[in-house]
Amino acid sequence: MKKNLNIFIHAFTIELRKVFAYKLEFWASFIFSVAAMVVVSYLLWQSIFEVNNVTQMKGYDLNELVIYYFCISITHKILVSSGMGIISRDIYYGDLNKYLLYPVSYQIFKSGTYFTKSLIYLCVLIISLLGFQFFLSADLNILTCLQGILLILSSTLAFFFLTTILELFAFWAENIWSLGIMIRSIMAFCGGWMIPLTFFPESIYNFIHYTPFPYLLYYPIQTLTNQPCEYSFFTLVLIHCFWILIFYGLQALVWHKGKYKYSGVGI
Amino acid sequence: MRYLRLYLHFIRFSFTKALQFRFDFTFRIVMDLVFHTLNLVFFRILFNHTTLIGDWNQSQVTLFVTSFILFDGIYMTVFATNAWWLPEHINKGELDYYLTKPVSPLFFFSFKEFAANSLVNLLFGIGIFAWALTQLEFSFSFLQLSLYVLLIINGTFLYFAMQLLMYLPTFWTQSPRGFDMLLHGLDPVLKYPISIQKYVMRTIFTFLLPLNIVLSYPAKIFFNEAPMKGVLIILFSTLVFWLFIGWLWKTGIRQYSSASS
Repeated sequence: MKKNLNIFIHAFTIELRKVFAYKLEFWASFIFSVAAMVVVSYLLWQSIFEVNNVTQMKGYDLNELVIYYFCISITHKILVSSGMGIISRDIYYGDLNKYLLYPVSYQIFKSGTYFTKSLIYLCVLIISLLGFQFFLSADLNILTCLQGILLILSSTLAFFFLTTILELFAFWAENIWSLGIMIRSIMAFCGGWMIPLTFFPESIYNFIHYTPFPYLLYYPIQTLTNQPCEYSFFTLVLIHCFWILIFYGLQALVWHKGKYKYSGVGI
Repeated sequence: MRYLRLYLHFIRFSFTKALQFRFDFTFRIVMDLVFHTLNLVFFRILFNHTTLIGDWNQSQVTLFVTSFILFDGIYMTVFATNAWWLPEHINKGELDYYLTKPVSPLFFFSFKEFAANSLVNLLFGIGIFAWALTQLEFSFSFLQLSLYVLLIINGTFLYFAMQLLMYLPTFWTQSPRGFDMLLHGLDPVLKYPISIQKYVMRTIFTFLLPLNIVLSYPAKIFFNEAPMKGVLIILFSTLVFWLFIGWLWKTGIRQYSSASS
């Protein structure tokens, strides 16, 4: 256990150094992407509110929508922190060989790499929430904020296992990039990144609750921002545990099957 | 003529390569179909709650969204794969391969890879765009359609130039990906209709980083909101943008050390 923790911290530290070696690119990309999404969404909803001549729709006013888009944009970044290729590249280039020879867990090492950017973005989210509370007098609650942050952490873990499953398909498929992008697009839509789920027609709304994505993105944000949520915190924790176990089990199965397909030659 | 022949060779090789990787070929097609379908559904959901976005109605917005599919099809087919590798080539000192060939390095690098799988999505884009045209409440002329096609093609070249603008600083910073995520981060500006933008934003994204010229202005051709003079200004500004990129590329090449970062 202690050995695994040391490996995780080591991988985390290396990745942190890599990220901050190019600070300008990292922060510029992050700030512009979040700002663009928030500003464009604000303008979109402002025009819709004006056309309908209302100040509130489906329980959201414009300020609440701004906070929603801000939080969900950062949370989306926390979940998908590292681009596709974190594991598949090792398989394609034959770099997995060296990890298989190391007396350490490959997955622990990779999780350390994966969670680095996630934790940086999470820190930004927490600081921003404090800013909302003190400067914009947002209706936030310390307890729900803590619950929301815990849910975001478990969502990140679940999404890491889901990403691992897709990445491990590289044992069979020659390029899994498109598969990963497709899942991320579906999550962005079903998780409420594009539009809060309460605006969805009932049929779509009911259907997407059979997928894990609303629980990974939308409900943690509802909890975090103290918005009405149809599930209690403990129910959401149970749902998260269910999906984490499913994804963990599947990735272990795919890893077990895939490693016998691995030639170590690379393409 | 020599360059056209070379490009035809590139296309042939790309098709051969694409058909060797059948899983990737299929999944790229499915990925694009899913991505664009979700985008269309998103705007359909929005119109359940409003009749206008800015001053555009549903058929106008649908035409705009299908224009994005068309643009994305062309861009992914012709440019996207080539653009993706530029910062890595610079960073790893692999640009020598392009510099030592007896053709323009910028041409060679820009057109070498032709994404055959995205060509299928381009056909899908054309089909759905044709459907969106039939949904318009007003008629349009052949001239409008021709100008639109010209401006969409112009838009893909302009977007590629903006992508290069994000990658070329790699010559100086040696970073692994340049500022590519910055342009991807600005995707919402490209994908949402210009009708929601206010004066300052509209000015920035028309004159400074001309994302509005890529899609929104071409779509406006059909709504009689973009006069002929505007078309000439768009073509002229694209030319100016490309001259700047050409200059930046040459300056960057002079900085290139060929050493791996």
